[in-house]
Amino acid sequence: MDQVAQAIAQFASVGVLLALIIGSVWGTIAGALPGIGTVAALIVALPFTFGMSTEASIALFLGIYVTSVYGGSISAILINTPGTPQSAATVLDGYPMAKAGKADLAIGWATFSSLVGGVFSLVVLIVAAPLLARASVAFGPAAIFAIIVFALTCIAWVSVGSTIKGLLAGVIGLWLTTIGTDDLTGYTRFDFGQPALMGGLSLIPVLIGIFALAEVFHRAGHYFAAKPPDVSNVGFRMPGLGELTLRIPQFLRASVIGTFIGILPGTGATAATFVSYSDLRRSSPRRENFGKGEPDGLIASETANNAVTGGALIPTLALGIPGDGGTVVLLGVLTIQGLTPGFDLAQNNPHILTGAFLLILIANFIMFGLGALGSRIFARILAMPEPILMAFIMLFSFVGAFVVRGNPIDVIICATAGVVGVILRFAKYPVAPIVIGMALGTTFEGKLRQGMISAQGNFVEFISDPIALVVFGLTVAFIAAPVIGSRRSGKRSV
Amino acid sequence: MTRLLDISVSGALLVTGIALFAMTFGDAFDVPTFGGDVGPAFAPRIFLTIWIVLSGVTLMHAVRSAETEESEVKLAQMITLVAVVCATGFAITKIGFVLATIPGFAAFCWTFQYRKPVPLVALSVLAPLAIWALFTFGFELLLPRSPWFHQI
Repeated sequence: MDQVAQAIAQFASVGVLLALIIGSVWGTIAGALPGIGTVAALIVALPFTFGMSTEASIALFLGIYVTSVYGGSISAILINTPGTPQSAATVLDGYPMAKAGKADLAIGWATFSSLVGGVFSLVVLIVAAPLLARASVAFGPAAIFAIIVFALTCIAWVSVGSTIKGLLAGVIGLWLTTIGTDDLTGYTRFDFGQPALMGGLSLIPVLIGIFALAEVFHRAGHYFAAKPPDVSNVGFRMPGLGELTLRIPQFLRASVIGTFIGILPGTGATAATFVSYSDLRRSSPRRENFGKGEPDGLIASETANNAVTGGALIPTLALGIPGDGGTVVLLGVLTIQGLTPGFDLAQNNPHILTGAFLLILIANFIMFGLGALGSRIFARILAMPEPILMAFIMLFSFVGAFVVRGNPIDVIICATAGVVGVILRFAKYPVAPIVIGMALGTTFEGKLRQGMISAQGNFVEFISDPIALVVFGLTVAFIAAPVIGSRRSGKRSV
Repeated sequence: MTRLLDISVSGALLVTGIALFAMTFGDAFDVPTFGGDVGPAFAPRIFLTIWIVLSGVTLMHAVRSAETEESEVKLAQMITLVAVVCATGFAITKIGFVLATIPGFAAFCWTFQYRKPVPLVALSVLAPLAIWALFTFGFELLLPRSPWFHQI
């Protein structure tokens, strides 16, 4: 209770509340606008954190993070176009409901489902993150090395497209962190004679380029000036209490699926949405109505994708291991504010962690309020010209890249990363593993070398830590399970 | 085009990986270590070995793959936009944020098929100025400046 009181004392200010509201509004708008998404929404807000307090920065980012996933449902329901990939399954039942003249009810279901998923995963986060963070003090270099290997394997394994390409992207990210001065020896590596590279590459400019600018370039390649979408039947109507209580099992199933998938690095809300949708389509008593405007379809999609937000924050806050682009940016913001996620955050700044939990809770209710009161306004914003929006993303990308270190070279690095990012995207390389590799690379190398020095260069001795062996076992099982499963089903079919 | 791009990217990554790996045997990496044989080249060699193997496998897959149908891409529009963004980024480092982004914003929107002149001109001037003013006077963070004016 002391921590809660301390957190309230530290976070209860007009500035923090304002930042949370602004973040939530911007997150919902960015989520609703097709092509922006969570990462770009966070990136646009990044430069502003340099002029804000730690508490307000955290509030701004958590507001965006929590609500941007929900925002995608508005465009999915109203214009048959998911604002974010996480809302792709929402289209399947949301748009048919809107076409049947019940857009207001569809938004009501989506909003309430998002609230349930968000609050459920928050409860899991509150229980699990501090416990895991305290347990992490027992993790030696080998265990942390093994956890990073596990995280990168998960990310590559579930990457869109080829697993090999996902692994390669992750390794490229790890290598990028070796540019600049070596922490252990002080020698400079891979600077190619450029003094600007002696300090190494900063994560944020690369991340901005690879996600935001590459997305802008990609949209330019696929943009055909079209009439603004015809938006109609807009409003908000809550489903009846009887309808809600009837569907409690579906809410629970989707919340558990979303939270669990969110915890696994790399899987993310898009995977959770489709897993949950296919699970409920199989298990729901109203399964024959799926695809025709069935509320269970909206519950499956929207509860699961918002439940991912709390789940994904568990490894990010407890271990400092981000699972996707959004949590990499969050991790970057915490680091910029001088906070180290993991044991340090739980032990030395528990009130910050508690404050973050409170902010997520409030952000979920702000999201509900925005859905209830602002859906007509968001529908109008959907008609905003895309070129103007993209031009603003370019401006904020350059500002964000520059203000991290105040070094103009970062603007060039950001633009270069954007070009590389769009080429890789067209060649079907997943780009998220690159930035996750970069976020984890320094720790990965540090722990590996530290452990190898302690073990006198004996790798077997280095990895003989019991926790590391368990995690390596999990990694092998994670890789082997689908392979064995597919072989078995292949034999059966023969 | 997809197959050709896949082969080109995989090939380029393989060549880059080999070149970087070769660099780790240069004088810059020949440094005495603290024991455990974990000098500055230790981790890069591990990463680059995996890089080379994976890019080799990817290249083989790309060569064996068949051409796939792709959705229509406006290549000229995209390349022009990439050039505009890169030029704007480079100009920011030379002539400052405001002077680079005013024409950059306009050129960006024009390339992106935005053709309403009045809002285009107004936004191109006002947006960079507003952002510059917000960061300079609001957050007291100086954005890149031109060599000719004091704060702009």
